[in-house]
Amino acid sequence: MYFTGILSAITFIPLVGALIIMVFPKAQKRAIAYFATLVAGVDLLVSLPLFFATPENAAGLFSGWGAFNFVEDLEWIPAIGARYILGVDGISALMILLTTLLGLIAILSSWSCITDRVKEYYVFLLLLQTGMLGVFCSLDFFLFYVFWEVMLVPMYFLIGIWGGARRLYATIKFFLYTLAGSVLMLLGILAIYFYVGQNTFDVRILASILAADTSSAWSGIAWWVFLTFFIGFAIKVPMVPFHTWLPDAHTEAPTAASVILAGVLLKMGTYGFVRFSLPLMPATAWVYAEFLLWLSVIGIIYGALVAMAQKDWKKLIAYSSVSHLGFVMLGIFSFNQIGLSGGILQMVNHGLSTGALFLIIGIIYERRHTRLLSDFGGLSKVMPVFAVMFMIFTLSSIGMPALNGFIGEFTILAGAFQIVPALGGRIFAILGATGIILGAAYMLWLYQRTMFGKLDNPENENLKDLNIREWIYLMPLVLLCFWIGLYPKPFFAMLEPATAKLAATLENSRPAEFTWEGDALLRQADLAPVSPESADSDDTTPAEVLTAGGRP
Amino acid sequence: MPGPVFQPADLLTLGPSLALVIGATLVLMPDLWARRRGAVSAPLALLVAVATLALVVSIWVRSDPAAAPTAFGGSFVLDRFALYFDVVFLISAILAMGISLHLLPQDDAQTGEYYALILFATAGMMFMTSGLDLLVIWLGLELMTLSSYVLCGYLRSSRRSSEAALKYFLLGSFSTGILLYGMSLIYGATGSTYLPAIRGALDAGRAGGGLFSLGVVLMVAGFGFKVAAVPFHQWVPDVYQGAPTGITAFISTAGKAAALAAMLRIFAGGLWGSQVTDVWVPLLVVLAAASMILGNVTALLQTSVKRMLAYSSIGHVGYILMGLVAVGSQLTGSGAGAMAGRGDDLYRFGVASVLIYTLVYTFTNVGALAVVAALRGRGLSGEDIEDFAGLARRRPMLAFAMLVFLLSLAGIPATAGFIGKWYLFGAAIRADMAWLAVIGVAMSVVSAYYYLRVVVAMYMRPAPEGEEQEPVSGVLTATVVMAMGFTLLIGVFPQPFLDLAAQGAAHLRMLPWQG
Repeated sequence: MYFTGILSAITFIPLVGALIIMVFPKAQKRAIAYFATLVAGVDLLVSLPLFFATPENAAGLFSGWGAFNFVEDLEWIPAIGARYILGVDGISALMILLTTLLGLIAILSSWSCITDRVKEYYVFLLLLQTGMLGVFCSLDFFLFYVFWEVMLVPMYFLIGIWGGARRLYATIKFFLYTLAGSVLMLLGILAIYFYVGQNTFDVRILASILAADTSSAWSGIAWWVFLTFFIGFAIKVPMVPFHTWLPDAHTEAPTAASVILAGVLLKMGTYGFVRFSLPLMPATAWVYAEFLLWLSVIGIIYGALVAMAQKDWKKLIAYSSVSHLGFVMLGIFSFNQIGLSGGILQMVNHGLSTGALFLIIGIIYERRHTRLLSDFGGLSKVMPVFAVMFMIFTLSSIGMPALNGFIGEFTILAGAFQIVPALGGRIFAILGATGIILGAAYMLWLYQRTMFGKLDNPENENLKDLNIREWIYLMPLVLLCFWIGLYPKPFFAMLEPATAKLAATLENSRPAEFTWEGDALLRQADLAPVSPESADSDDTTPAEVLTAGGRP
Repeated sequence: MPGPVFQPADLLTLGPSLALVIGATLVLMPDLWARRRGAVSAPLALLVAVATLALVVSIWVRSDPAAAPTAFGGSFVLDRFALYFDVVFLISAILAMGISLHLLPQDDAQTGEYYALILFATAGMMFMTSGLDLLVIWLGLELMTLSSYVLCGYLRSSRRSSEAALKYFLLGSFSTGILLYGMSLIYGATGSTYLPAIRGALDAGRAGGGLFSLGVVLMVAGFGFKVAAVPFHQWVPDVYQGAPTGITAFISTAGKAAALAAMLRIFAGGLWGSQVTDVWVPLLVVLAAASMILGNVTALLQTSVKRMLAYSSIGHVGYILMGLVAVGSQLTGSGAGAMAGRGDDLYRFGVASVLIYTLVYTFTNVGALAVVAALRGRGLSGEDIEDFAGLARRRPMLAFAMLVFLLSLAGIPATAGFIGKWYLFGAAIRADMAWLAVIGVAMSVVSAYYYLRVVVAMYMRPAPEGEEQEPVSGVLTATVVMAMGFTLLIGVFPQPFLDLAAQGAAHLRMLPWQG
């Protein structure tokens, strides 16, 4: 099951599929759709072993998810030291699984709604898949950057060709915003590369050199480099005030692209912080943390408030993403293991529930060709199954216990509650919690306006309920929402070794001005951020916090 | 000067240039008896260019990596730096001929002279890169520009073409005059036009001062015209738009590369030391920043693709000048910065960045212009953005090729343009000129906007009804495929090309007198 080259296989199966589709005759629309589904299905199957390769399941086979597994390291451009290095730890493995799953679902959801230029559509969708998987697999900064930018191109076409009425505006805005962020980040990468001067882009080497570098020359440069990374990743997340491309892109994109955009693409930003910004520049991260925490909280509340004011179903969900991603950032920048694990799990949760909500909108849009909330009402009477599905994902998005959103938000708030006072302390947890309330408000109001009430629009009277295909692609998401909601332990187990390591790195590099005498007390109470020595034996894992009934 | 002025063996060193000149003369002949003008001479010219390319490559392969053969008393050198640029010129010439072989018959203007002039211009460029004496460089420059003036106005029936030629001639000869004046001032200040002798005078403290500095300033201005850097760029849009597309492709790539090579040869290879660099580095910093900003911002406003590419080429010169600035900032020896590996490493990196970008830009820009040429026919000029509407449906492969070229111009990874920009931005960062790199990346984003407009037209707009276009000839197809192939190849597997550029860069400073 675990063969060398598994990551290359996962990454490039969609590319190979896309190349094969190119030779299909244009008119074979059915065959193209089936074949693309097959490719995505195979890719998902190939990626599944990653899930079962957690240390406890594959005892002795792997050193654990804290280190990078399945590493492939090949020479690529010796002149600049760029190598083809792939490898995954628990964090990236989880992201890869999310990507392959949502990729398959996105393709399944396109069967009926894409009728024009079918061949190009699936080619772009599969290319996008390769780009995203490459981003999550790369351990070489150069390689990462190549995948990171290449990914923009297929998404640009997906929105621009198959999007809604304002698609050209939306897609150019999306492209330019993200490009601006990533080219700035390129300068940061170059600065790191030349500062270290080892002719390498291997992030493992760079991290070990830079995290230990306490020279003032480096901290001066690191301040700027962190800024460029921040802009690059924050645009992708998106964090307020870099979020304005998102509502446009989401609203205009075709359903599958929205699902991928919300489910995977936004996670690239948060993943970038976790994989690159924090491990490479932990000391600088502390300097930026308070600023970023405030931006996260502003994003949570602002996104929720704007979502509440939307008249367009899709735009509402788009703004809710701004709010949810604010939560993810809040968890990550709590700088403790609980917050980090919660933030990363919430990335998965958001991918599942918001991805599903976009599918829900796609299903209704295909039947009614409108997304205006005022056109709907009382749909639960004609589409009962649809209404149940929508309810599950709404509750998951709100953070209802027994569903995945609750686990994520709870762990994030548990982490945020322990933010050191020098960074602002508990205020972020308190403000973040108000976001949950607002989230419940806009989501339930949305549900009420569309599903309940009188069925007063005659066009809605003959709507068909879900068909088999829609059942098939929604069910895995429902199951996963319940699984993570009821038994998140395997997921946390996957994340913990990696987050423990990251938390330890951050703890080691904590500048003096951010120390806090309360740390000692917390450590006695087993609630402290993990110290390096106790990283392995730490017994306050988020999973246990939860199973212990929420001790904090 | 070391050694006698001429030895018979010198002719061997002159091989590639001689081959071109002899070949060009032969190309002029078949038109005398051939039934159709150009029927024999045009393919013959292509053959000459390909054969010379093969010769250059074989010289490279057999050359000693640790030596640089010189000729004519040391005033002409055939090192790997020169050979690298010779390859770039020949590739540009070959691709430009490919475009012309498709277009000229449409205008009924297929003649041998046209191709012979391209070969002559290429020979001139080779002299520019190989010259170690200011006069040799200047003679090469004149051979190149005089041929280009004629080529620009080659379509006599087209008013635009004639206007382009006149503008190019007036501004071009003016700038050559400035350049020559600068050289004469340097001669006045040092008593020589031979670069090693000028360097000797500088080292001995016999030069410097206002006269010498003014000479350097005037030379920068003269070369500024040739590479079309802001504020010496006014001729570019009209000339690039009016000239036959093949010639636009040729002078926008090889013509610029030749001027850049001469600048590198003089400023980075020959005359270093703070008397020189203190003058040209600040000047080039301004030129680079102004070119990047003005070129890219003005390109936003264009509706003609050829004109847009003209303005964007000004922007690209701005990027390239960053590489030169990085080299120069190293030569001043302004102290250690924060970045590791300065000194000789940075020098070679900076030179290599210019070398690799000229190659990348040649494939990319010629390729884009070849697609423009392919669109021409029946009432369409192929130059307007509107002419690209719906291209992805009418001719998917051509649209895909254009997409590759545009992405490469915008510097998106997996295309050659990214590798080139990586080197140039890297050189700027490494030379502690991050602010220049920030302007560069900001302008890359601006440029992405106008390149995307063409992509939008090709992929996201419906095709106009009932338009039939000329079928694309085999030779143009081959041109596009070759340019696209190399654009992608350099983008994904750049190592061999980076290796060549590194060797070329290493040779720039290898002559014995350079120490």
